[in-house]
Amino acid sequence: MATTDATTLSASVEPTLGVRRKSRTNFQLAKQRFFRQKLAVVGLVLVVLFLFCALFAPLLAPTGYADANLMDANKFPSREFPFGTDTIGHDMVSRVIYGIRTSMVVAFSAVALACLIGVPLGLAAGLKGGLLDFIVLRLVEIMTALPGILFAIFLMSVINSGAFKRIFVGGQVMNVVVVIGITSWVPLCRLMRAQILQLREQEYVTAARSIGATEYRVAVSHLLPNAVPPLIIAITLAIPAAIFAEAGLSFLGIGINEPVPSLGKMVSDSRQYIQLYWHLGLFPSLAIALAVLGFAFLGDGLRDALDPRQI
Amino acid sequence: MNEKNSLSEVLDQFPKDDPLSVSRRRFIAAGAAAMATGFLATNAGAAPLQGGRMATALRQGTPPADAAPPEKQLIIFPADVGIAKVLDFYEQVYQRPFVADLFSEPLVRMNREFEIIPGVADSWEGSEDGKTWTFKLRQGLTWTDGNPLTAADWVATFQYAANPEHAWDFTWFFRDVITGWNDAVDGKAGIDKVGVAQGASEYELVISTDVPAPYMPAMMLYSLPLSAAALKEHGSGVYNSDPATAVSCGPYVLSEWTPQQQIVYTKNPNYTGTMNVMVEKVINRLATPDTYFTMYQNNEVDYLEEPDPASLTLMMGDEATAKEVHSGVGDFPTWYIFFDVTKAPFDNKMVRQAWSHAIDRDTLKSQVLGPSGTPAYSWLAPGFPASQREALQDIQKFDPAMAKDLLSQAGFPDGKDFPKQTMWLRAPSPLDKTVAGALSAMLKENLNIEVELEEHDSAGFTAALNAKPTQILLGWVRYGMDYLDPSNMLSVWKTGGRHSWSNPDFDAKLKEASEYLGAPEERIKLFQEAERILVEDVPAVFVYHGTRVQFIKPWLKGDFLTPDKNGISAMHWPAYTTMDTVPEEIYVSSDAPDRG
Amino acid sequence: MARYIIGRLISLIFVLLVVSFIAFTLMHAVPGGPFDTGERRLPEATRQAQLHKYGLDKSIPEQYVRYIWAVLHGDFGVPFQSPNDTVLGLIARAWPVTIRIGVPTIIISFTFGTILGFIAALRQNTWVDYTVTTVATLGLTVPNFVVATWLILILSTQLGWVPTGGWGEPKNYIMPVIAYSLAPTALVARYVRVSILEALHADHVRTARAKGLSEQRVLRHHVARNAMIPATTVLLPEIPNILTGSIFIESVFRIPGIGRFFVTSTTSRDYPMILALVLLVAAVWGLTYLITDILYTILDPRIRIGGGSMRG
Repeated sequence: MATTDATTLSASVEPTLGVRRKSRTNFQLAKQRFFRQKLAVVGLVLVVLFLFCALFAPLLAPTGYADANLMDANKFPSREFPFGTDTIGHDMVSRVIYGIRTSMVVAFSAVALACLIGVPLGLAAGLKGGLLDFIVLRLVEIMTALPGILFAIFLMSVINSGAFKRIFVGGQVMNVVVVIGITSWVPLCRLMRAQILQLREQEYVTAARSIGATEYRVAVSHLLPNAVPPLIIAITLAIPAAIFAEAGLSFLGIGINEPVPSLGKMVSDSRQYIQLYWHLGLFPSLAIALAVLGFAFLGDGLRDALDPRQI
Repeated sequence: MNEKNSLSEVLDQFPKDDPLSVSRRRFIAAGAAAMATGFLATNAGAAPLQGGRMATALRQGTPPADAAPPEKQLIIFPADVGIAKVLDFYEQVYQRPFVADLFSEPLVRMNREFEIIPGVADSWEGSEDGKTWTFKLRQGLTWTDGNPLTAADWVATFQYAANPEHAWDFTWFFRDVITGWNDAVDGKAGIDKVGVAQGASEYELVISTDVPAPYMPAMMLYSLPLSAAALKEHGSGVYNSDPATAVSCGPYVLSEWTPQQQIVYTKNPNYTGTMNVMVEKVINRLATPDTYFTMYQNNEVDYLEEPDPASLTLMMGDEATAKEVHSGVGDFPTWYIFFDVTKAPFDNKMVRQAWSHAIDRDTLKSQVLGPSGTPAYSWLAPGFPASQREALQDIQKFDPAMAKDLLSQAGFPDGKDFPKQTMWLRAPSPLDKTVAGALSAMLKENLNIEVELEEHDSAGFTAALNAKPTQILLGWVRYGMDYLDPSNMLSVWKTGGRHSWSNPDFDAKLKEASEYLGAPEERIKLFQEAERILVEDVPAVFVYHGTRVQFIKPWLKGDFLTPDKNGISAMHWPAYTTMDTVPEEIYVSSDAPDRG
Repeated sequence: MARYIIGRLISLIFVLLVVSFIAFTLMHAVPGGPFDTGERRLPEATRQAQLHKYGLDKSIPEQYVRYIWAVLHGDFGVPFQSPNDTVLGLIARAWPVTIRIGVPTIIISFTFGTILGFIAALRQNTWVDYTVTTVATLGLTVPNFVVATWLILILSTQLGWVPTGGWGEPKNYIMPVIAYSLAPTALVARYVRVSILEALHADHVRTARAKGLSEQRVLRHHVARNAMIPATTVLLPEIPNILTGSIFIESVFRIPGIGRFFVTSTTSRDYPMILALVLLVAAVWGLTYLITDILYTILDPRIRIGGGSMRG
């Protein structure tokens, strides 16, 4: 993905031709390509919708997420309760909206944490090579070798037991974020490293070095910008993975605590009721599905848009 | 109701040389504590100790007309694959599959009316001071390895149980009761000093206690022996979990254990005991509990207990399946919110009282529990000896106004500044989660207090609860009886028991009642006084008594479903074991489909 | 190359040691032990006796050393949950079950996924592409235990075609494999599509086309090979992932594989079992990464392995 040279090329071509041609930046070109793909647009719309939901949950939801009236329990979807009510009498619309907020917060925070850990490590490993690369690779191996679920269960139990309560303030949500973040930085690191490895052997890098660019300059001006697009895509795809991870933790009973709603917990708790109260699982499942779909299409769209060779 | 008279009538029916004949006075002293503590003080009717007409018919060897042929006499029970580790009570109590105690018989058994009836011991008597208990064993019973069943087997079993090298998980049960038990368990004295020994002959077992123990016969419900010879040979009771080395003197033998899949028992062809069982094969199908209902619907299991609310609603919704739903008392469990009363804010009694008045148990029952429970305001469940629900039900009654008022007085008007709480749940089932969610909602609504619900697995929860000092500030848990005596249920609350509450008045009253040897009515009164102290001090908010719901396939027939004197028709606790009469009162009818 | 492989194998052993140590420490840090069962507080003496019986009263480092020493002699211990068995015995019985579910899953998902990805890539931005991509992505959007539950409801309870779960007959494979393959199929499809698209638009492919080579030759020689590299990074790890089992699938369908053991062992604090499982998974993953990296070099000689630096 040699985007940098394209910019410099078009800039140098213009004056010689003597024609006033509107030069489009790469960003504009990318945007054009992006919006040409229908699925990408769908993805963007979904993501924006969900982020909106997450940000304005208190305004959108008819009730608070903990408000429940036992006498209204187990009602099917109706005009009063468009998504029905759950076994305790919560309005499912509110629960789903707040659940989206929880999922977004957890997913974004966890992925941010994963980036904070994984990207610098991958960058450093790919650039420096040698001993640092060796250590990072071993670290990656160790982290991958520890079965994620087991590690998550251990971590959650240890954190829950209060051993680290002084460090991890912020309640259960924070605990879940930390655990998911710690268990998901590896793919990002690996990706970063693989990208760097591939890129640094590219011709233009050799060219840059041959004209005397320092390592640092090569890294920042040439490698990083080209490594960023796949990273963005990886992040976009890591978000749904985090949502899933949280659902998995909830399935095992060690995720977000009630009464804070979590889509994953709602789905896993609804399994028992699937024959009877299908609405309990349907709407949270749909929410998760649409969120994942949205991020996936967005990621796909970004990837296709940022590849300049597509005409 | 004059218990003594009805007992006399009963006892007079037996001729002197009948093995069931017992000295009247001794029988009353020994058995009255268990039998007549208010629960079933009634004329037990003809042949009361033989479990009813059906059992008599079975004993005489005529199968009911609609019984399936022997090859189809098969029952399948679901069992939790996570805890199916060993089979014998005296090897390990808490990690066994659902159906396990079939390879030997205890000294006494329990019938459908919760009465203690002879097991292997056909008579027993206690000394005047209540500290020596002699059990006379039936003769002629043998193990499958040919050895006779004698008192030596019990001696070996109890010594094994007290042996620190074995580290039995139930040693608390006999602590401070059987002589020499404490010292043996603590490693201070040898296991041969434990007060369980052979008596005058090898068919007489003598148990000595440190304190007067009128509840001893009831306790001996838990006396399933291991084989002394096998224990000697293998060094541990694990031999009985392997078909190759298993030894049985009970109506069944272990014929197959496919790990993670199923455990199969078949009828013991060399059985010499008196239980007349009809079912040829019993299977434990191992699975995770959340899959039980699906299996039940597909006829892959014949029984299910404590279903989740959705399954229950589904079954009740259809006329045909509604007949398969039975509700019983189970082991008289009480579900309660408990506090660590040594820490703020729950060290303030007014806070605890406020909480007790904020729970609307009736709505909980109507909207969430349904047939699975009934509101509880006190500790002992209705039907349990010494239970006095009406007398105590106002102490912790639902009264939101009073709740708010008390909370205000305690320094948290309208819940202001009340620290956010986290309620610990122990491996909650779907019903538990719903109930806990409802409680959290009620506390928010009535007291404006936020309560978060945290799920913990059994090991983590138990470790935190039992830690010294306890690590759980607020939790939700249940307790069901170990044997039918108020001293058992109430001992949960004594100092050093399960929780951090410590009340010397309660301890004293409980001790007095447990050791009381006089009139049963007086004993009951003492227990009731103790319970009153408990309920008034609110170390826990009692929320509901579990009424165990069971799904039983219609082809499981027999007397086990005949309503007892309280009208309950269900498979009585402890279900399919030699500790009760269920195996003798159940058979499979010929309309059972092919399965297993 | 041979030196490289040996070096990696040695570091794998090192990784296994570190992993086992981390797992060991974490495991013991989790509150509650294998004997925290039951309703009442046990007398202190009995508690100590229990710990002593299983060697758990020694210090953590000492227990660890003893454990590693035993492992080096091939003794993985006796599982707490099955005192009549050995850890190796349990795993030897359970892992083949997981593999039997895993292999059809891998075959189905990789085959279907590649086909779907190919179709979508070659018909980019048409309705075919959109449909295939959406359907493929849907496989990733719902957690597999949800799919599993719906499958059981429809195929088993309502239609009665297959049993609800369990093991032993060919019928028992159907639902688990379906539920398990959805996500990997989607993953494979998506990455194959992307890789092919990237390769299709690569300069060298344009050149090849410009030179007049047939589309087929272009695809085979130039596109496919280069598409394999990112595909390898992402997809090859799916194999050990699938082979080490899904705890959700195995729990819901009552399959006696090692996936279910993970959860039951953790809940019951079966330390020997947990450690053995961790070592197993670690070994499988370590080997996978080794194979992946070797394949990397074979496929793209431009990537230098083993410490290239900027000294150029």
